[in-house]
Amino acid sequence: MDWISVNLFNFPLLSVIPHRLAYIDPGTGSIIVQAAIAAAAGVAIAVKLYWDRLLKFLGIRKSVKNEISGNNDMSENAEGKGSETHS
Amino acid sequence: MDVKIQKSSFRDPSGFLFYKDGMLLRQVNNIYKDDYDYFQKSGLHDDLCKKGLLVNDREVDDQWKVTDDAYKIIEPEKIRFISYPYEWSFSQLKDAALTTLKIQKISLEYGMTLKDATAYNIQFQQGKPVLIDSLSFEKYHDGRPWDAYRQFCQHFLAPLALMSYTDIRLNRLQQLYLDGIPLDLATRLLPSRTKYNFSLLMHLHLHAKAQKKYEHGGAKGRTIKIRKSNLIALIQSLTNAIENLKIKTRSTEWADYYSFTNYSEKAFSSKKEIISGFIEKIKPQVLWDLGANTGEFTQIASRFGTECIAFDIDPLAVDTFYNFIREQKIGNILPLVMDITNPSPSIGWNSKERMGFKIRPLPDTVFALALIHHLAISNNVPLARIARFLKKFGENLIIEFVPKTDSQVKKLLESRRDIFTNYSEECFIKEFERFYSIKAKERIEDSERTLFWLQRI
Repeated sequence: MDWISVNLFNFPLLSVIPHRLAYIDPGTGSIIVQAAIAAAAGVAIAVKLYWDRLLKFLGIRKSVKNEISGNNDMSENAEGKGSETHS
Repeated sequence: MDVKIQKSSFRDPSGFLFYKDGMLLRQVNNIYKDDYDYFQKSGLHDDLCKKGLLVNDREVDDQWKVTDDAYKIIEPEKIRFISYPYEWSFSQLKDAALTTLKIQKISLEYGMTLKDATAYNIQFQQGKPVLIDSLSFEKYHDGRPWDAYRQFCQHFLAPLALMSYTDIRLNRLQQLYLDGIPLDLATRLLPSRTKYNFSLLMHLHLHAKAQKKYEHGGAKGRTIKIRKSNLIALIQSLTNAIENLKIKTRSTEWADYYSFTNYSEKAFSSKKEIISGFIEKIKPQVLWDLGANTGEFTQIASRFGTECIAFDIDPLAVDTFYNFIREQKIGNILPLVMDITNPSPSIGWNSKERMGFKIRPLPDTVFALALIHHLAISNNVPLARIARFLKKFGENLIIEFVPKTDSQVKKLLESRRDIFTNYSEECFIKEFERFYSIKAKERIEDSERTLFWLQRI
Protein backbone atom coordinates (compact mmCIF):
# COMPACT_ATOMS: atom_id res chain seq x y z
CA MET A 1 0.00 0.00 0.00
CA ASP A 2 2.92 2.28 0.44
CA TRP A 3 3.21 3.09 -3.25
CA ILE A 4 -0.15 4.85 -2.82
CA SER A 5 1.10 7.09 -0.06
CA VAL A 6 4.33 7.77 -1.92
CA ASN A 7 2.41 8.97 -4.97
CA LEU A 8 -0.39 10.66 -3.12
CA PHE A 9 1.69 12.71 -0.81
CA ASN A 10 4.29 13.94 -3.26
CA PHE A 11 2.20 16.34 -5.27
CA PRO A 12 2.64 20.10 -4.64
CA LEU A 13 1.99 20.88 -1.04
CA LEU A 14 -1.37 22.34 -0.26
CA SER A 15 -2.83 24.37 2.54
CA VAL A 16 -6.09 24.76 4.32
CA ILE A 17 -7.38 28.05 5.61
CA PRO A 18 -9.48 27.35 8.70
CA HIS A 19 -13.01 28.71 8.79
CA ARG A 20 -13.39 31.47 11.40
CA LEU A 21 -15.76 29.29 13.43
CA ALA A 22 -13.77 26.07 13.20
CA TYR A 23 -12.59 25.27 16.68
CA ILE A 24 -11.34 21.73 16.27
CA ASP A 25 -8.17 20.82 14.44
CA PRO A 26 -9.18 19.41 11.07
CA GLY A 27 -5.68 17.99 10.60
CA THR A 28 -3.63 18.71 7.49
CA GLY A 29 -3.17 15.03 6.65
CA SER A 30 -6.91 14.45 7.14
CA ILE A 31 -7.80 17.20 4.69
CA ILE A 32 -5.41 15.88 2.08
CA VAL A 33 -6.64 12.31 2.33
CA GLN A 34 -10.23 13.54 2.36
CA ALA A 35 -9.71 15.37 -0.91
CA ALA A 36 -8.25 12.26 -2.52
CA ILE A 37 -11.03 9.98 -1.29
CA ALA A 38 -13.76 12.48 -2.19
CA ALA A 39 -12.40 12.69 -5.73
CA ALA A 40 -12.22 8.90 -6.02
CA ALA A 41 -15.69 8.47 -4.51
CA GLY A 42 -17.08 11.09 -6.87
CA VAL A 43 -15.65 9.24 -9.85
CA ALA A 44 -16.92 5.90 -8.57
CA ILE A 45 -20.43 7.23 -8.19
CA ALA A 46 -20.40 8.84 -11.61
CA VAL A 47 -19.17 5.63 -13.21
CA LYS A 48 -21.83 3.58 -11.43
CA LEU A 49 -24.55 6.03 -12.43
CA TYR A 50 -23.60 5.99 -16.10
CA TRP A 51 -23.16 2.22 -16.09
CA ASP A 52 -26.68 1.81 -14.69
CA ARG A 53 -28.04 4.24 -17.30
CA LEU A 54 -26.26 2.34 -20.04
CA LEU A 55 -27.74 -0.95 -18.88
CA LYS A 56 -31.17 0.63 -18.72
CA PHE A 57 -30.71 2.05 -22.23
CA LEU A 58 -29.77 -1.38 -23.49
CA GLY A 59 -32.82 -2.83 -21.74
CA ILE A 60 -30.75 -5.02 -19.47
CA ARG A 61 -31.82 -3.33 -16.23
CA LYS A 62 -35.29 -1.99 -15.42
CA SER A 63 -34.52 1.26 -13.57
CA VAL A 64 -31.63 3.39 -12.49
CA LYS A 65 -30.92 2.79 -8.83
CA ASN A 66 -30.92 5.88 -6.69
CA GLU A 67 -27.20 6.22 -6.01
CA ILE A 68 -27.18 8.86 -3.36
CA SER A 69 -29.94 7.69 -1.01
CA GLY A 70 -27.93 4.84 0.50
CA ASN A 71 -29.39 1.89 2.37
CA ASN A 72 -30.44 3.70 5.46
CA ASP A 73 -31.20 2.20 8.85
CA MET A 74 -32.08 5.61 10.10
CA SER A 75 -35.01 6.11 7.77
CA GLU A 76 -37.32 5.50 10.71
CA ASN A 77 -35.99 8.73 12.17
CA ALA A 78 -37.45 10.46 9.16
CA GLU A 79 -40.86 9.11 9.96
CA GLY A 80 -41.07 11.17 13.09
CA LYS A 81 -39.57 10.86 16.48
CA GLY A 82 -42.53 9.39 18.31
CA SER A 83 -41.79 6.14 19.97
CA GLU A 84 -44.24 4.93 22.51
CA THR A 85 -43.48 4.47 26.13
CA HIS A 86 -43.62 0.75 26.44
CA SER A 87 -46.79 0.23 28.48
CA MET B 1 -26.04 34.95 40.07
CA ASP B 2 -26.58 31.28 40.67
CA VAL B 3 -25.19 30.05 37.39
CA LYS B 4 -23.19 26.91 36.78
CA ILE B 5 -21.55 26.45 33.45
CA GLN B 6 -21.82 22.87 32.22
CA LYS B 7 -18.45 21.24 32.83
CA SER B 8 -17.84 19.90 29.35
CA SER B 9 -19.06 22.98 27.50
CA PHE B 10 -15.97 25.11 27.04
CA ARG B 11 -14.21 24.29 23.77
CA ASP B 12 -16.46 25.96 21.23
CA PRO B 13 -16.39 29.78 21.27
CA SER B 14 -19.80 29.85 19.57
CA GLY B 15 -21.55 29.36 22.90
CA PHE B 16 -21.96 27.16 25.95
CA LEU B 17 -24.44 25.33 28.15
CA PHE B 18 -25.23 26.45 31.66
CA TYR B 19 -27.60 25.78 34.52
CA LYS B 20 -29.63 28.50 36.19
CA ASP B 21 -32.20 27.78 38.86
CA GLY B 22 -32.52 24.21 37.74
CA MET B 23 -33.00 25.12 34.06
CA LEU B 24 -30.59 23.98 31.37
CA LEU B 25 -29.87 26.84 28.96
CA ARG B 26 -27.54 27.54 26.07
CA GLN B 27 -25.94 30.91 25.42
CA VAL B 28 -25.34 31.65 21.75
CA ASN B 29 -22.48 34.11 21.41
CA ASN B 30 -22.34 37.01 18.97
CA ILE B 31 -19.57 35.32 16.96
CA TYR B 32 -22.16 32.72 15.95
CA LYS B 33 -24.93 35.19 15.04
CA ASP B 34 -24.82 34.84 11.24
CA ASP B 35 -24.67 31.07 11.23
CA TYR B 36 -27.34 30.80 13.91
CA ASP B 37 -29.74 33.02 11.97
CA TYR B 38 -29.06 31.10 8.78
CA PHE B 39 -29.58 27.79 10.61
CA GLN B 40 -33.02 28.98 11.71
CA LYS B 41 -34.15 30.84 8.60
CA SER B 42 -33.05 28.21 6.09
CA GLY B 43 -35.39 25.73 7.74
CA LEU B 44 -32.60 23.28 8.60
CA HIS B 45 -33.23 23.56 12.35
CA ASP B 46 -36.92 22.78 12.02
CA ASP B 47 -36.33 19.99 9.51
CA LEU B 48 -33.84 18.22 11.78
CA CYS B 49 -36.10 18.61 14.84
CA LYS B 50 -39.09 17.28 12.94
CA LYS B 51 -37.11 14.25 11.81
CA GLY B 52 -36.06 13.52 15.39
CA LEU B 53 -32.39 14.07 14.57
CA LEU B 54 -31.82 17.21 16.64
CA VAL B 55 -32.98 17.83 20.19
CA ASN B 56 -35.82 20.35 20.44
CA ASP B 57 -35.12 23.79 21.77
CA ARG B 58 -36.77 27.18 22.05
CA GLU B 59 -35.52 30.72 22.37
CA VAL B 60 -35.99 32.30 25.77
CA ASP B 61 -35.62 35.77 27.18
CA ASP B 62 -32.06 37.01 27.24
CA GLN B 63 -32.38 38.09 30.86
CA TRP B 64 -30.70 34.72 31.48
CA LYS B 65 -27.51 35.68 29.65
CA VAL B 66 -24.29 34.93 31.46
CA THR B 67 -21.96 37.34 29.63
CA ASP B 68 -22.48 40.45 27.51
CA ASP B 69 -21.29 38.54 24.50
CA ALA B 70 -24.67 36.78 24.30
CA TYR B 71 -26.66 36.95 21.09
CA LYS B 72 -29.47 34.62 22.13
CA ILE B 73 -30.40 32.28 24.95
CA ILE B 74 -32.05 29.01 24.06
CA GLU B 75 -33.50 26.28 26.20
CA PRO B 76 -32.84 22.79 24.84
CA GLU B 77 -34.91 19.79 25.85
CA LYS B 78 -33.15 17.99 28.69
CA ILE B 79 -31.74 14.56 28.00
CA ARG B 80 -33.22 12.18 30.55
CA PHE B 81 -30.03 10.18 31.11
CA ILE B 82 -26.59 11.23 29.91
CA SER B 83 -24.42 8.40 28.61
CA TYR B 84 -21.08 8.27 26.85
CA PRO B 85 -19.73 6.42 23.78
CA TYR B 86 -17.58 4.13 25.93
CA GLU B 87 -20.80 2.91 27.56
CA TRP B 88 -22.54 2.17 24.28
CA SER B 89 -22.77 -1.16 22.57
CA PHE B 90 -21.71 -1.67 18.96
CA SER B 91 -25.14 -0.96 17.47
CA GLN B 92 -25.63 2.13 19.60
CA LEU B 93 -22.37 3.63 18.36
CA LYS B 94 -23.22 2.55 14.81
CA ASP B 95 -26.61 4.26 14.98
CA ALA B 96 -24.98 7.37 16.47
CA ALA B 97 -22.51 7.39 13.54
CA LEU B 98 -25.24 7.01 10.93
CA THR B 99 -27.27 9.78 12.59
CA THR B 100 -24.27 12.11 12.40
CA LEU B 101 -23.75 11.34 8.71
CA LYS B 102 -27.42 11.74 7.95
CA ILE B 103 -27.40 15.15 9.63
CA GLN B 104 -24.35 16.16 7.62
CA LYS B 105 -26.02 15.07 4.39
CA ILE B 106 -29.20 17.02 5.14
CA SER B 107 -27.18 20.06 6.25
CA LEU B 108 -25.36 20.17 2.92
CA GLU B 109 -28.73 20.24 1.16
CA TYR B 110 -29.51 23.41 3.11
CA GLY B 111 -26.10 24.96 2.51
CA MET B 112 -24.66 24.17 5.94
CA THR B 113 -22.12 21.72 7.32
CA LEU B 114 -21.20 20.24 10.70
CA LYS B 115 -18.12 21.84 12.17
CA ASP B 116 -17.52 18.91 14.49
CA ALA B 117 -18.45 15.22 14.56
CA THR B 118 -17.79 14.17 18.11
CA ALA B 119 -19.65 11.21 19.57
CA TYR B 120 -20.30 13.35 22.65
CA ASN B 121 -22.68 15.48 20.60
CA ILE B 122 -25.00 12.51 20.37
CA GLN B 123 -27.21 11.35 23.23
CA PHE B 124 -30.00 8.78 23.42
CA GLN B 125 -33.50 10.14 23.88
CA GLN B 126 -36.62 8.01 23.55
CA GLY B 127 -34.37 5.09 22.72
CA LYS B 128 -32.81 6.78 19.67
CA PRO B 129 -29.66 8.82 19.02
CA VAL B 130 -30.11 12.61 18.66
CA LEU B 131 -27.73 15.50 18.15
CA ILE B 132 -27.71 17.73 21.20
CA ASP B 133 -25.50 20.58 20.01
CA SER B 134 -27.41 23.07 17.89
CA LEU B 135 -24.28 25.20 17.55
CA SER B 136 -22.52 22.52 15.54
CA PHE B 137 -23.61 24.01 12.24
CA GLU B 138 -21.80 26.50 10.06
CA LYS B 139 -22.52 27.86 6.61
CA TYR B 140 -21.11 25.71 3.85
CA HIS B 141 -18.77 27.51 1.49
CA ASP B 142 -18.39 25.92 -1.88
CA GLY B 143 -15.23 23.91 -2.17
CA ARG B 144 -14.48 23.73 1.55
CA PRO B 145 -13.38 20.33 2.85
CA TRP B 146 -15.21 18.81 5.82
CA ASP B 147 -13.35 19.99 8.95
CA ALA B 148 -14.94 17.28 11.04
CA TYR B 149 -13.76 14.36 8.90
CA ARG B 150 -10.81 13.51 11.13
CA GLN B 151 -12.97 13.62 14.23
CA PHE B 152 -15.62 11.43 12.62
CA CYS B 153 -13.07 8.75 11.72
CA GLN B 154 -11.62 8.74 15.23
CA HIS B 155 -14.86 8.88 17.18
CA PHE B 156 -16.94 6.55 15.05
CA LEU B 157 -15.28 4.63 12.24
CA ALA B 158 -12.16 3.50 14.12
CA PRO B 159 -13.91 2.17 17.28
CA LEU B 160 -16.61 0.47 15.22
CA ALA B 161 -14.00 -1.21 13.01
CA LEU B 162 -12.11 -2.32 16.12
CA MET B 163 -15.25 -3.82 17.65
CA SER B 164 -16.08 -5.53 14.40
CA TYR B 165 -12.66 -6.86 13.38
CA THR B 166 -10.64 -7.10 16.56
CA ASP B 167 -12.76 -7.42 19.71
CA ILE B 168 -16.22 -6.28 20.75
CA ARG B 169 -14.88 -5.21 24.14
CA LEU B 170 -12.84 -2.43 22.56
CA ASN B 171 -15.69 0.06 22.96
CA ARG B 172 -14.10 0.75 26.34
CA LEU B 173 -10.96 2.07 24.67
CA GLN B 174 -12.83 5.32 24.06
CA GLN B 175 -12.73 5.94 27.79
CA LEU B 176 -8.97 6.38 27.46
CA TYR B 177 -9.08 8.49 24.32
CA LEU B 178 -11.64 11.22 24.72
CA ASP B 179 -11.12 12.64 21.24
CA GLY B 180 -11.62 9.28 19.60
CA ILE B 181 -9.12 6.51 18.96
CA PRO B 182 -5.88 7.80 17.39
CA LEU B 183 -5.80 6.35 13.88
CA ASP B 184 -2.24 5.06 14.14
CA LEU B 185 -3.25 3.03 17.20
CA ALA B 186 -6.48 1.82 15.61
CA THR B 187 -4.77 0.69 12.41
CA ARG B 188 -2.09 -1.10 14.41
CA LEU B 189 -4.76 -3.03 16.33
CA LEU B 190 -6.83 -3.91 13.26
CA PRO B 191 -6.02 -7.18 11.46
CA SER B 192 -4.27 -6.78 8.11
CA ARG B 193 -7.28 -8.14 6.23
CA THR B 194 -8.93 -4.74 6.83
CA LYS B 195 -6.53 -3.41 4.18
CA TYR B 196 -8.50 -5.42 1.62
CA ASN B 197 -11.62 -3.52 2.51
CA PHE B 198 -11.46 -0.46 0.28
CA SER B 199 -13.28 1.93 2.65
CA LEU B 200 -11.23 0.96 5.68
CA LEU B 201 -8.07 1.12 3.60
CA MET B 202 -8.87 4.69 2.62
CA HIS B 203 -10.58 6.17 5.67
CA LEU B 204 -8.40 4.46 8.27
CA HIS B 205 -5.11 3.09 6.96
CA LEU B 206 -4.32 5.75 4.38
CA HIS B 207 -5.74 8.39 6.67
CA ALA B 208 -3.41 7.29 9.48
CA LYS B 209 -0.41 7.47 7.17
CA ALA B 210 -1.40 10.94 5.98
CA GLN B 211 -1.76 12.14 9.55
CA LYS B 212 1.69 10.89 10.38
CA LYS B 213 3.26 12.41 7.30
CA TYR B 214 1.84 15.86 7.99
CA GLU B 215 1.87 15.83 11.77
CA HIS B 216 4.51 18.54 11.85
CA GLY B 217 2.66 20.73 9.38
CA GLY B 218 4.67 22.07 6.49
CA ALA B 219 1.89 22.50 3.97
CA LYS B 220 2.13 25.66 1.89
CA GLY B 221 0.73 26.62 -1.46
CA ARG B 222 -2.71 26.62 -3.00
CA THR B 223 -5.85 25.85 -1.01
CA ILE B 224 -7.50 22.46 -1.26
CA LYS B 225 -10.96 22.54 -2.71
CA ILE B 226 -13.44 19.68 -2.75
CA ARG B 227 -16.38 19.86 -5.10
CA LYS B 228 -19.74 19.60 -3.33
CA SER B 229 -20.75 16.53 -5.30
CA ASN B 230 -17.51 14.83 -4.26
CA LEU B 231 -18.07 15.80 -0.64
CA ILE B 232 -21.50 14.20 -0.81
CA ALA B 233 -19.89 11.13 -2.33
CA LEU B 234 -17.41 11.06 0.56
CA ILE B 235 -20.26 11.16 3.09
CA GLN B 236 -21.94 8.33 1.19
CA SER B 237 -18.71 6.37 1.24
CA LEU B 238 -18.49 6.76 5.03
CA THR B 239 -22.15 5.77 5.38
CA ASN B 240 -21.57 2.60 3.38
CA ALA B 241 -18.44 1.80 5.36
CA ILE B 242 -20.32 2.12 8.67
CA GLU B 243 -23.37 0.21 7.48
CA ASN B 244 -21.22 -2.70 6.35
CA LEU B 245 -19.60 -3.11 9.75
CA LYS B 246 -21.13 -5.93 11.75
CA ILE B 247 -20.31 -7.90 14.86
CA LYS B 248 -20.20 -11.65 15.15
CA THR B 249 -23.21 -12.90 17.04
CA ARG B 250 -21.42 -15.79 18.71
CA SER B 251 -22.54 -15.92 22.29
CA THR B 252 -20.50 -14.37 25.03
CA GLU B 253 -20.96 -15.46 28.63
CA TRP B 254 -24.38 -13.97 29.10
CA ALA B 255 -26.09 -13.58 25.76
CA ASP B 256 -27.65 -17.03 25.91
CA TYR B 257 -27.72 -17.01 29.68
CA TYR B 258 -31.35 -17.92 29.95
CA SER B 259 -30.99 -21.05 27.88
CA PHE B 260 -28.31 -22.42 30.16
CA THR B 261 -29.23 -21.20 33.61
CA ASN B 262 -31.11 -23.18 36.15
CA TYR B 263 -34.39 -21.33 35.63
CA SER B 264 -37.01 -23.80 34.63
CA GLU B 265 -40.01 -22.30 32.84
CA LYS B 266 -41.91 -22.43 36.09
CA ALA B 267 -39.15 -20.62 37.97
CA PHE B 268 -38.86 -18.00 35.25
CA SER B 269 -42.54 -17.12 35.29
CA SER B 270 -42.62 -17.23 39.09
CA LYS B 271 -39.77 -14.73 39.21
CA LYS B 272 -41.58 -12.46 36.74
CA GLU B 273 -44.80 -12.66 38.71
CA ILE B 274 -43.18 -11.78 42.01
CA ILE B 275 -41.33 -8.82 40.51
CA SER B 276 -44.50 -7.58 38.82
CA GLY B 277 -46.22 -7.65 42.17
CA PHE B 278 -43.45 -5.53 43.73
CA ILE B 279 -43.46 -3.06 40.85
CA GLU B 280 -47.21 -2.58 41.09
CA LYS B 281 -46.83 -1.56 44.71
CA ILE B 282 -43.71 0.60 44.25
CA LYS B 283 -44.84 2.39 41.04
CA PRO B 284 -41.27 3.48 40.22
CA GLN B 285 -40.51 6.63 38.18
CA VAL B 286 -36.91 5.81 37.34
CA LEU B 287 -35.34 2.38 37.63
CA TRP B 288 -31.79 1.10 37.20
CA ASP B 289 -31.47 -2.58 36.38
CA LEU B 290 -27.97 -3.67 37.44
CA GLY B 291 -26.93 -6.76 35.48
CA ALA B 292 -29.94 -6.52 33.15
CA ASN B 293 -28.59 -8.97 30.55
CA THR B 294 -31.07 -8.96 27.65
CA GLY B 295 -33.73 -7.11 29.60
CA GLU B 296 -36.42 -9.69 30.34
CA PHE B 297 -37.03 -8.21 33.77
CA THR B 298 -36.34 -4.58 32.87
CA GLN B 299 -39.40 -4.78 30.67
CA ILE B 300 -41.64 -5.58 33.63
CA ALA B 301 -40.93 -2.05 34.87
CA SER B 302 -40.87 -0.40 31.46
CA ARG B 303 -44.32 -1.76 30.63
CA PHE B 304 -45.47 -0.01 33.73
CA GLY B 305 -44.29 3.32 32.27
CA THR B 306 -41.07 3.55 34.30
CA GLU B 307 -37.99 5.21 32.82
CA CYS B 308 -35.43 2.39 32.82
CA ILE B 309 -31.66 2.28 32.46
CA ALA B 310 -30.41 -1.28 31.96
CA PHE B 311 -26.74 -1.88 32.75
CA ASP B 312 -24.77 -5.00 31.91
CA ILE B 313 -21.10 -5.91 31.66
CA ASP B 314 -21.60 -7.98 28.52
CA PRO B 315 -21.49 -5.81 25.37
CA LEU B 316 -23.20 -8.47 23.27
CA ALA B 317 -26.14 -8.79 25.68
CA VAL B 318 -26.53 -4.99 25.70
CA ASP B 319 -26.36 -4.97 21.91
CA THR B 320 -29.04 -7.66 21.64
CA PHE B 321 -31.28 -5.76 24.04
CA TYR B 322 -30.74 -2.45 22.22
CA ASN B 323 -31.62 -3.96 18.84
CA PHE B 324 -34.77 -5.43 20.36
CA ILE B 325 -35.71 -2.03 21.78
CA ARG B 326 -35.18 -0.31 18.41
CA GLU B 327 -37.22 -2.92 16.64
CA GLN B 328 -40.09 -2.68 19.12
CA LYS B 329 -39.82 1.13 19.20
CA ILE B 330 -39.62 1.18 22.99
CA GLY B 331 -38.92 4.72 24.15
CA ASN B 332 -38.35 4.34 27.88
CA ILE B 333 -35.40 1.96 28.15
CA LEU B 334 -31.73 2.82 27.67
CA PRO B 335 -29.37 -0.17 27.80
CA LEU B 336 -25.71 0.54 28.55
CA VAL B 337 -22.48 -1.40 28.97
CA MET B 338 -21.22 -1.06 32.54
CA ASP B 339 -19.07 -3.12 34.90
CA ILE B 340 -20.61 -2.60 38.33
CA THR B 341 -17.33 -3.56 39.98
CA ASN B 342 -15.50 -0.92 37.94
CA PRO B 343 -18.08 1.63 36.84
CA SER B 344 -17.41 4.69 34.65
CA PRO B 345 -15.25 7.18 36.52
CA SER B 346 -15.33 10.97 36.16
CA ILE B 347 -12.82 11.85 33.46
CA GLY B 348 -11.65 14.49 31.08
CA TRP B 349 -10.44 17.98 31.84
CA ASN B 350 -10.09 18.49 35.59
CA SER B 351 -11.70 15.06 35.96
CA LYS B 352 -15.08 16.70 35.58
CA GLU B 353 -15.83 16.75 31.88
CA ARG B 354 -17.56 13.37 31.70
CA MET B 355 -19.58 12.36 34.74
CA GLY B 356 -18.90 9.20 36.65
CA PHE B 357 -21.56 6.62 37.24
CA LYS B 358 -22.53 7.80 40.73
CA ILE B 359 -22.87 11.44 39.69
CA ARG B 360 -25.68 10.83 37.22
CA PRO B 361 -29.22 11.48 38.42
CA LEU B 362 -30.10 8.58 40.67
CA PRO B 363 -33.14 6.30 40.31
CA ASP B 364 -35.81 5.66 42.92
CA THR B 365 -35.71 1.89 42.38
CA VAL B 366 -32.94 -0.59 41.65
CA PHE B 367 -33.00 -4.18 40.43
CA ALA B 368 -30.12 -6.39 41.55
CA LEU B 369 -31.35 -9.64 40.10
CA ALA B 370 -29.06 -12.65 39.73
CA LEU B 371 -26.22 -10.30 40.62
CA ILE B 372 -25.20 -10.75 44.22
CA HIS B 373 -23.31 -14.01 43.80
CA HIS B 374 -21.21 -12.45 41.02
CA LEU B 375 -20.24 -9.60 43.32
CA ALA B 376 -19.78 -11.62 46.50
CA ILE B 377 -18.21 -14.76 45.09
CA SER B 378 -16.67 -14.02 41.67
CA ASN B 379 -15.46 -10.62 42.86
CA ASN B 380 -14.90 -11.35 46.55
CA VAL B 381 -16.88 -8.31 47.68
CA PRO B 382 -18.19 -8.76 51.25
CA LEU B 383 -21.97 -8.51 51.68
CA ALA B 384 -21.55 -5.52 53.98
CA ARG B 385 -19.87 -3.55 51.22
CA ILE B 386 -22.46 -4.57 48.67
CA ALA B 387 -25.21 -3.30 50.96
CA ARG B 388 -23.40 -0.01 51.56
CA PHE B 389 -22.86 0.41 47.82
CA LEU B 390 -26.44 -0.29 46.81
CA LYS B 391 -28.05 1.93 49.41
CA LYS B 392 -26.72 5.03 47.65
CA PHE B 393 -28.79 4.36 44.59
CA GLY B 394 -32.46 4.20 45.30
CA GLU B 395 -35.13 4.10 47.93
CA ASN B 396 -36.37 0.72 46.74
CA LEU B 397 -34.20 -2.28 46.03
CA ILE B 398 -35.46 -5.50 44.51
CA ILE B 399 -32.70 -8.01 45.04
CA GLU B 400 -32.40 -11.72 44.44
CA PHE B 401 -30.44 -13.72 46.96
CA VAL B 402 -28.68 -16.67 45.32
CA PRO B 403 -27.58 -19.21 47.96
CA LYS B 404 -24.72 -21.71 47.83
CA THR B 405 -27.20 -24.49 47.10
CA ASP B 406 -27.98 -22.85 43.75
CA SER B 407 -26.39 -24.58 40.76
CA GLN B 408 -24.84 -21.36 39.41
CA VAL B 409 -23.04 -20.72 42.69
CA LYS B 410 -21.90 -24.33 42.80
CA LYS B 411 -20.41 -23.77 39.36
CA LEU B 412 -18.62 -20.62 40.56
CA LEU B 413 -17.18 -22.51 43.51
CA GLU B 414 -16.19 -25.56 41.48
CA SER B 415 -12.65 -24.53 40.80
CA ARG B 416 -11.86 -22.57 43.94
CA ARG B 417 -11.72 -22.90 47.70
CA ASP B 418 -14.93 -21.92 49.50
CA ILE B 419 -13.69 -19.06 51.71
CA PHE B 420 -17.15 -17.52 51.86
CA THR B 421 -18.17 -18.50 55.36
CA ASN B 422 -20.30 -15.34 55.68
CA TYR B 423 -22.24 -15.88 52.48
CA SER B 424 -25.70 -17.04 53.53
CA GLU B 425 -29.24 -15.73 53.63
CA GLU B 426 -28.94 -14.96 57.36
CA CYS B 427 -25.81 -12.88 56.81
CA PHE B 428 -27.38 -11.22 53.81
CA ILE B 429 -30.41 -10.16 55.87
CA LYS B 430 -28.24 -9.01 58.75
CA GLU B 431 -26.07 -6.77 56.50
CA PHE B 432 -28.92 -5.31 54.49
CA GLU B 433 -31.15 -4.65 57.49
CA ARG B 434 -28.60 -2.09 58.60
CA PHE B 435 -29.78 0.14 55.72
CA TYR B 436 -33.10 -1.28 54.61
CA SER B 437 -36.32 -2.69 55.99
CA ILE B 438 -37.69 -5.84 54.39
CA LYS B 439 -41.05 -5.02 52.81
CA ALA B 440 -41.47 -8.43 51.23
CA LYS B 441 -39.64 -11.68 50.79
CA GLU B 442 -40.68 -14.43 48.37
CA ARG B 443 -39.06 -17.66 47.34
CA ILE B 444 -39.04 -18.25 43.57
CA GLU B 445 -40.91 -21.43 42.73
CA ASP B 446 -38.85 -24.37 41.57
CA SER B 447 -35.65 -22.56 42.53
CA GLU B 448 -33.24 -22.05 45.42
CA ARG B 449 -33.40 -18.27 44.99
CA THR B 450 -35.35 -15.70 47.03
CA LEU B 451 -36.53 -12.27 45.96
CA PHE B 452 -36.48 -9.40 48.45
CA TRP B 453 -38.17 -6.04 48.23
CA LEU B 454 -36.14 -3.73 50.46
CA GLN B 455 -36.87 -0.12 51.34
CA ARG B 456 -34.17 2.23 52.53
CA ILE B 457 -34.59 3.38 56.12
